[in-house]
Amino acid sequence: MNTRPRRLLVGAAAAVLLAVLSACGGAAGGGSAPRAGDILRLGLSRQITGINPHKGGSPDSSGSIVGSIYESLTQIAPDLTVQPSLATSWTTVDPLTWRFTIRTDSKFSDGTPLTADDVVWNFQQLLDPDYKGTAGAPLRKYLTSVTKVDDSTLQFNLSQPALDLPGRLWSIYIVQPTFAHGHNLDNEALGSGPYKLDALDQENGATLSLNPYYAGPKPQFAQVRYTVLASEAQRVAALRAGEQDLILNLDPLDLAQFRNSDTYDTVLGVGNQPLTLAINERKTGTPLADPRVRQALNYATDKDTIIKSLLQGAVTPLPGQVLYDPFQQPNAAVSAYPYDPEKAKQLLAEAGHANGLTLTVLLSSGTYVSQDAATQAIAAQWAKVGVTLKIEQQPFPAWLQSQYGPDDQAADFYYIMWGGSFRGDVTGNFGPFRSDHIQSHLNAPEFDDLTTRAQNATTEAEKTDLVNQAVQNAHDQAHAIFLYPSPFTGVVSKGLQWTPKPNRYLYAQGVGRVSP
Amino acid sequence: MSVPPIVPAPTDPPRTTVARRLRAPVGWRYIGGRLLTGLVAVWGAVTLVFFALYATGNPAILLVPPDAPPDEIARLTHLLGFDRPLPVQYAHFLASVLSGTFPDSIRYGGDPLPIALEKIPASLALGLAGLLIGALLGGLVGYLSATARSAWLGRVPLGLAVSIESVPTFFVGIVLVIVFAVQLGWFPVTSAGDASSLVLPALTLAFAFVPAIARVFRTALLDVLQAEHIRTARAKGLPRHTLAWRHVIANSLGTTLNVVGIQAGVLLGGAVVTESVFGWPGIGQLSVNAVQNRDYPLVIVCVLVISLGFVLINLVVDVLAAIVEPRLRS
Repeated sequence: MNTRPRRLLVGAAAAVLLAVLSACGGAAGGGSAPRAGDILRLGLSRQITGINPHKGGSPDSSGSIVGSIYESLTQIAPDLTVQPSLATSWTTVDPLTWRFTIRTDSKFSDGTPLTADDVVWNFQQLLDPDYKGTAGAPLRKYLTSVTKVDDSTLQFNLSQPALDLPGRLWSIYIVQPTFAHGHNLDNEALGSGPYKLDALDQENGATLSLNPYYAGPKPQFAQVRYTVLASEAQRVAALRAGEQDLILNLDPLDLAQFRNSDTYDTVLGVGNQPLTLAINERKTGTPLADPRVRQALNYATDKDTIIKSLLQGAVTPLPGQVLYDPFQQPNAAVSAYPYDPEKAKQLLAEAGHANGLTLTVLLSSGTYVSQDAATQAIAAQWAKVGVTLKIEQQPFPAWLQSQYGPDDQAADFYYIMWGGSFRGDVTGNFGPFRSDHIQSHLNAPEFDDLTTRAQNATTEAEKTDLVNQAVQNAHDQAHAIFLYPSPFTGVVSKGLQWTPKPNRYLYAQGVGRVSP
Repeated sequence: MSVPPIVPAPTDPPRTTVARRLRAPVGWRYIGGRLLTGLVAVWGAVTLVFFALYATGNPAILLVPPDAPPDEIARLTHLLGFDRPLPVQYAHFLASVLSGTFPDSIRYGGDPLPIALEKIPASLALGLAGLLIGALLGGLVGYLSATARSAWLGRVPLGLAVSIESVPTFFVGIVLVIVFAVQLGWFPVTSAGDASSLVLPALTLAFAFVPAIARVFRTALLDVLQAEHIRTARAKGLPRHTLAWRHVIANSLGTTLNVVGIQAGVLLGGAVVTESVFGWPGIGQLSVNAVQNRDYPLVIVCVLVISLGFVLINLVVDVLAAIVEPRLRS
């Protein structure tokens, strides 16, 4: 009937759409490599959970930002060796006393000097049981106090020997006491690292710029923007639109679409954390209390096929232990459980489960690379030996709560991807496999004893011997389903020069430009 | 003897008529009553969410580093006050709210209210853009389907709109990103909070809005077109555009506005998904992340702000509907 109102309506709608569309000048471009003066764009694969340096943080989010803003006494190199940072050297006075020499030229980003007193204050806070900074919890297990000897020397007084103390201190970042008193460290920052915080949106990312007072080598990018891209789809889309310069943690199968890119290089390698299926050995009446069942399940798992089909052959199966080259020294006498379904059936029959059994694995979707598909594969492999693996999914908080909860309420299996932060890190390497670990449902008194003695060893030879015994024990008792090292994946702009850090900490100061 | 006039002499209109004309479309008592009901609903929502959240688990678990000793959970739980009985925590929470402060956000480490309020402008911008585009598109589709002489125009746009209704919001968003950001490069994938970042999330929201408004507007138009006063107006020879705008569309807006109001409330909920898909820095994204991180104080404040927004939007829409459609004033 009426054509004019119709035309008007159509016109109005078109006008609004055009106005909105025209507001979009400078849309995302084609992903050119960064040039001098450009902002470095780094993608984070997890949500930021605050930037309080005394609360720790995932390498995939907060940890990368914090490590670009703050300094600690030591730092970890890409090959996981411990390097000087605020501390230039260290020495042992006796097994319970260490002395660290610290730099005196370091300054916070407001120009105030970082002093030995500041370092002492930070450790005092962390050792206070009423302090909310959770990074102090591991320290309180072995550190009694930190005292100032002189302006460049600190003394660490321990309650038990710690041969690897310098390595353990890499994540204890130093904040300025005055700033800490008057500001909210979860959202604000004042550090002595290469960058300072300009803006923070915990939901979406952070912007950093150079700390003008930084005493170390000047980073190549004056500005850095970290963007949270928590889902695989977001990471892939942002890369395909050329909006990011460097993103880690992509599914190995998604790397293929960037392999022939003019803009990006791909990284597919071995990460420093082993992936295992942790076992609940303490549930009432569980068949997993019998080592023969645990061994059988190791024999029933075809790691090679999973690696080949899902991980593009990026890694090799764990050598029957959580230590592997090139990051940790493995026990050469221990090797991977081969895929042997017949042996698995035999062990299950010996354990009284010839007719099969049903077990449950609890997953938190998206937590580990290719986890869901790998679990389906494992379930299919175990079905061949008569074991039914029920797969359950929960959101991450509920999954974690179940993992931390009572033995009888926990699932039979969880994935654990956790490893040493540095070479020879006994606590990091073996912690989750001890009976007394916060996530553990194991019953492993011999392993506990060996690793405790390794942690408290006073010579490297003694420590190595105890570590090898612990590795052998964990293998023989099959206290885990040993799978494979975490794959280390990334997509990097061809305009960047960057040494991959397999521990996934994406520090802005570690990224440079390709020389023209 | 004087004969009383058969027709009374014209006099000034009674004063009551003038007062009636100046009277607000709805009374203050009505507004006050609606507000009070709304506040009770907000309190109910917050209380429900409080108990649902706090009964599901201990947020301190997420704060404990993996290499901490087992007693660290107990230490943190006590420090944060999560070891107290639930009614005690609720009483403490209510006391905090009444005193004008909320318990500290676990992740942000401070009063969660400013954090939530800071996100409102971005959410409003997105919601209003989505609402505007959705209302225009929905109105256009409804009008075409009610008045088009061509069967194609009458059925296809509405059919398309209804079929889009069955597609989840996040899927629409991902498709838009793939087409317009990745393939065409017209818009950014990651939000910078600017105008160009607004387009795709606003379109995603609008698509969720179009089907309902199109259907209701179409039904209202068809009803009005059958009315006798329209036939009379046609018979009087009113110009088509006057007939359409003043008599047909204007009389169809009352019910449609009510649906817009309900949809506007839904936009707050729908924006939760859209903001998360696009990384739009609004309160929806903040809420989702707060839930995922078990930041209970922040979740509750987000619920409070969103439900208050819902109540206010519905109140505004009721008043607007009463202005447009006087029959609704009663």
